[in-house]
Amino acid sequence: MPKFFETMDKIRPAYDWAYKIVLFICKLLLIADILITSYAVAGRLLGQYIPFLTDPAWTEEVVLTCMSYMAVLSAALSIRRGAHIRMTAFDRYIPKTALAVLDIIADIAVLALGLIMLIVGWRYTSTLGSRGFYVSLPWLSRFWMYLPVPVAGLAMIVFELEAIYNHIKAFFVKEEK
Amino acid sequence: MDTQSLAILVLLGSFFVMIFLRFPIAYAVGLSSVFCMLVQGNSLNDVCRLMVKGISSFSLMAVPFFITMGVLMGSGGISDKLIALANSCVGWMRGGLAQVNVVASYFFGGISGSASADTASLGSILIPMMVDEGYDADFSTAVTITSSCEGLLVPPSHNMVIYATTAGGISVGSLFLAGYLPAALLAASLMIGSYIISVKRGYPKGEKFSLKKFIIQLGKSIWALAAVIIVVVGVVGGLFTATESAAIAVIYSLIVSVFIYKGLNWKGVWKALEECINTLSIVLILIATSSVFGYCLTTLHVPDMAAAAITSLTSNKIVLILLLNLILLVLGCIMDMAPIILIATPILLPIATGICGLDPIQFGIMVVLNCGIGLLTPPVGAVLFIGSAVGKTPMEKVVKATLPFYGCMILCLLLVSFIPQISLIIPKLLGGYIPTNF
Amino acid sequence: NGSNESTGAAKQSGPVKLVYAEVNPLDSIVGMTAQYFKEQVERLSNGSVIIDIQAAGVLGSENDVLDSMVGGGTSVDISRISAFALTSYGAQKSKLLSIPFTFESREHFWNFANSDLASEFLNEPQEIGLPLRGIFYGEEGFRHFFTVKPVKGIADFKGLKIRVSNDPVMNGMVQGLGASPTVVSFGELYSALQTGVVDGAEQPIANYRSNAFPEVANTLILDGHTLGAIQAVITDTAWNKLNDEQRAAIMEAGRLTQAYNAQISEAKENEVLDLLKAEGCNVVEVTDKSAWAKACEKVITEQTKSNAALYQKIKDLK
Ligand code: NA
Ligand code: NA
Repeated sequence: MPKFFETMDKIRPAYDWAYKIVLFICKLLLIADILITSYAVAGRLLGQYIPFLTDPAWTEEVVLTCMSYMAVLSAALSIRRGAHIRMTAFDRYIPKTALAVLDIIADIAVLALGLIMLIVGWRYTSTLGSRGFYVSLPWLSRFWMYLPVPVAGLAMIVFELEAIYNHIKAFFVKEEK
Repeated sequence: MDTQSLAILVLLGSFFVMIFLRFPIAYAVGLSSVFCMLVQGNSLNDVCRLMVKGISSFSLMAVPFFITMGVLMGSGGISDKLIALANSCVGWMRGGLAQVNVVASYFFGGISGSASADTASLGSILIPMMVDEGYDADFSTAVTITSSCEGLLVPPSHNMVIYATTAGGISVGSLFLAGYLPAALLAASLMIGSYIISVKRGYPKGEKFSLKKFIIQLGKSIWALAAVIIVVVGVVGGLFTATESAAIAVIYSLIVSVFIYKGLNWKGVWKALEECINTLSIVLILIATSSVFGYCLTTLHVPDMAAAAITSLTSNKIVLILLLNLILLVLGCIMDMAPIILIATPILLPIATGICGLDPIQFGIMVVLNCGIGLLTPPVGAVLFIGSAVGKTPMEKVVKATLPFYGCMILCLLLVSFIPQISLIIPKLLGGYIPTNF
Repeated sequence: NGSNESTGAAKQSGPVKLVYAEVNPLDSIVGMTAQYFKEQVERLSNGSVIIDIQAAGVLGSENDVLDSMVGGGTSVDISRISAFALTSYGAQKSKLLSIPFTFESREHFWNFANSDLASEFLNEPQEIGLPLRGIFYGEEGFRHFFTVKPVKGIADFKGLKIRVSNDPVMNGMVQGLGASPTVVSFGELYSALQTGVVDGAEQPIANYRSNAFPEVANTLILDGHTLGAIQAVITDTAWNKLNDEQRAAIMEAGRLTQAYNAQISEAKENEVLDLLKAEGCNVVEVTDKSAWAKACEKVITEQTKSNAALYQKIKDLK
C-alpha cells in the first residue's frame, strides 16, 4: 500500500502550484477592489477639479464581482490549510480513529457540495448568462457575475480530493517523518 | 407533517447535526440550505444565486477592507508604539502594565477590530513584559484576552459592518459611533477589576505620569491613530461611505507602514496580503452560505415563529432581554462570532426591536459584546485559545483567572442591555444618529 | 433549465399556489395593487389559484428576483417589477418606457397602457426568449429629483452629485442636466444625503416620503422626468401549471388590476404630496419641462435610436 501512496504523492507539487496560483489571483483581486473603490472616491471628490478623474457607474458592480471571485477562491484555499471554522469543542473526548472518520465524512460532504455548486452553478450561470447583462455595463453578460459559483465548486473539489486522500493515507501510513 | 414544517426541521436539524459532526461551519450552513430547498421542491439555482448575492453587497465590501487595513497596520509595527502610548497614560497606576494592556487594546482595537489579532500582537509583547515584572502569567493572559474584546466595539469594526448588513437598513456610521462608549465602559470595568486584583496581589506600578512623555508618545502614534480618525470623520462627516473610507484607510495604512514607520517593505506588504486572504477566506464564504440559510429561514417564516414561541413564554420585557442575552451567550460558547451574527441576527432582531423595544443599533452592540464574551469561553473560544498559546498557560488556568473579568464583561453587557443611552448618546450628540427604517 | 420540474404539477388536486414577489411594503401603491390582484385572481379562479404575496423585499431586490425567474428558478412565480428592469435581460422595448420625458402626463401613460401597443410590449419577454410573460402594466407615480440644498430650476443642477441607479439611461440623464451621477446603494442613501456624500437623488413621491428622505433632503422639484412604469410578469413554469380557465382568470385579474392601479395611484400620490407640503417640504413646481427635455436630448436620442419608430408611436399616444 505505501508504494501506492508514494506514487500518488508525486502529484503534490502540482497542488502546491495550484495553491500558489490561486493565492496570487486572490491577492490581485483584493488589490483591484481597493484601487477601484479608491478611484471612485477620488473621482467623486476631485472629479470637478481634475478633468480625467471620473466616478464611472460600473465601479460598484465590477468591485462586487471581483470580491465574489476572491471569496470563493480563497475559501477553497482554506480547505487545503484546514482553516475553516468548525466545532472542535469535544475533540478531546473523541477517540482519534473516530475523529479521522468524522473528518472523512465531513470532507466527502463538502466534496458533494462542491459537485452541486459545479453542476447546478454551471447550468444556472450559462442559462442566465445567455439572457442577462450587467446593469451598468450592458455589453457584459451576467455569466461573469455568477461564474464564481461553479468556479468555487471546481476549486472545492480539487482541494477536497487532496484532503480526503491525505486522510486515507493517514490510515495506512502511520507517522510519516 | 406539512412541507413547511419538514423543511424547517431539515434546515435546522441537519445544520446542528453537521456542526456536531465537526463539519466546517460555512459548508454545513450551505449543505443544510441545499437539503431544505430539496425538501421544498425548489430548484437549487437559488443556492447559486443567493451565494453570489450574499457577498455582492457594497456595504459589505468594508469588511475585507477593514481586515486588510488591520493586517497592514499590525505588520507595520504599530503595536509597540501603541503600548508605549498607553504606558505613558496609565502606566503609573497600581498594576500599571495590566492597565496599559487594557488601554492599548482600546487604541489597537480602533485599528484592527479583531480580538484575535489584538491578543496575538499585543499579547505576545505585553504578556512576557508583565511576567518579567512579577505578574502571574494566567492573570496577564486573562487581562489580555478580555481587553482584546474592546476592539470589536471601537470603530471601525468589521463585525459591526457584518451586523449592519445582515440586519439591513442600519447606518454603519451610527453603529460605529455607538461603539465608543460601551468599549470605554468595558475598558473602565476591566481597569477597576485589574486594580483590585493588583492591590490584593501587590503587583507593581510603573513610572510617574509625565505629560512630556505622553505628548512624545502621542506624536509617535499619531500616524497610526490618524487612520481611525480618517475613517470615523470621513464617514460621519460625509466625505465617504463606510466602504469607501475603508478602501482609503487601506491605502493610508499602506503609506504609513511602508514610508513612515518603515515596518514593512513591499515584499512584506505582498506577504501581509496573504494573511488578509487567509482571514477573508474564512469570513466571506460564511457570509455567502449564510445568505442562503437566511433566505430559507425568512421564507419559511422561522423568525416569526421564534418570536411567537419566545413571547409565549413571557411578555416581561426585562426577562425577554435577559433571555436574548442568554441565547447569544450560549451560542457564543459553541460557535464563532461571524456565524452567530449572520445566523442569529435575522431571528433575534425582530424580537429585540419588536417586543423588547430595543433600538437596532443598541441590539447590535449587545450582539457584538455577547459574541465577544463567547470568544473567551470554552469549549469554542478562538481568543481564549490564542491567549493560552501566546501566554504559554494551560487553558483551564486562563479560564480560572478570567473568572472575575467575565464578571466585568457581564456587568457591562447588562448595563448596555438596559440603558439604551450608553449606545445611543454619542451618535445623537455628534449628529450621527440615523434612525433605522426597515 | 428548470421547466422539467413543473410537468407533474398540472395534475395535482387542490388549488395552485403562486408566489408573488413585491419589493415594497403592502401599504404602498404597488403593495395595494398586489393585494387587489390577489383578490381578483382568487375570485375569478373560484379559489383554484392562490396568490401568496411576499412583500417588503423578503425575496430580494427586483434584479435578485428576476435573476431567479430568468435563470429557471421555481421559488418565485410572479413578480412586480419596474418596466425598465427587463432592460438588463435584453428587452429593448421596455427600456423605452424609462426614457426621460417620454410621457407628458399621466393620461399619456395610460393611453399607452390601455392601447394595443401595450400588449405587444407585455409580450416582449416571450419574443426575446425569456421564460416570462407580462400580465399587466401600472405606475407608481412620476419620479422627481429631491435635493439637500434648495434648487429653483434646472440651472441649479450644475455640479450637483445626484444618486441614481447605475443604468446608462439614468446616468445619461443626470449628465445631461450638468450634474454628476453618483453610485450609492439604496440602503446607504439616507446617510449619504445626511452627511453630504451626495447632494440629491430621485424617487417617486411616495417612496420619497416613506423612506424619510424629506428629513435630510427637503427640496422636492416636480420635474417628473420619468413615470415609474411597473409591470407584473409570470414565469413560463408557473404558466404551464395552469389550465386554460386559470390562465384566463389571471389575465382578466390583470386587466382589472391595471384599472385599479390607475385609479389609486393618482389619488395616493396627491395625498402624499399634500402631506409633504403640510409637513414643510419645499416643493418646487416645474411648469415648463421643455428645457429639461432638451437638456436630456442626447441620452434620449442615443437610447431610442434602435427603436425610433416604436418610440415615436408611444410619443404619439399623448
Ligand atoms: Na475596531
Ligand atoms: Na489587551
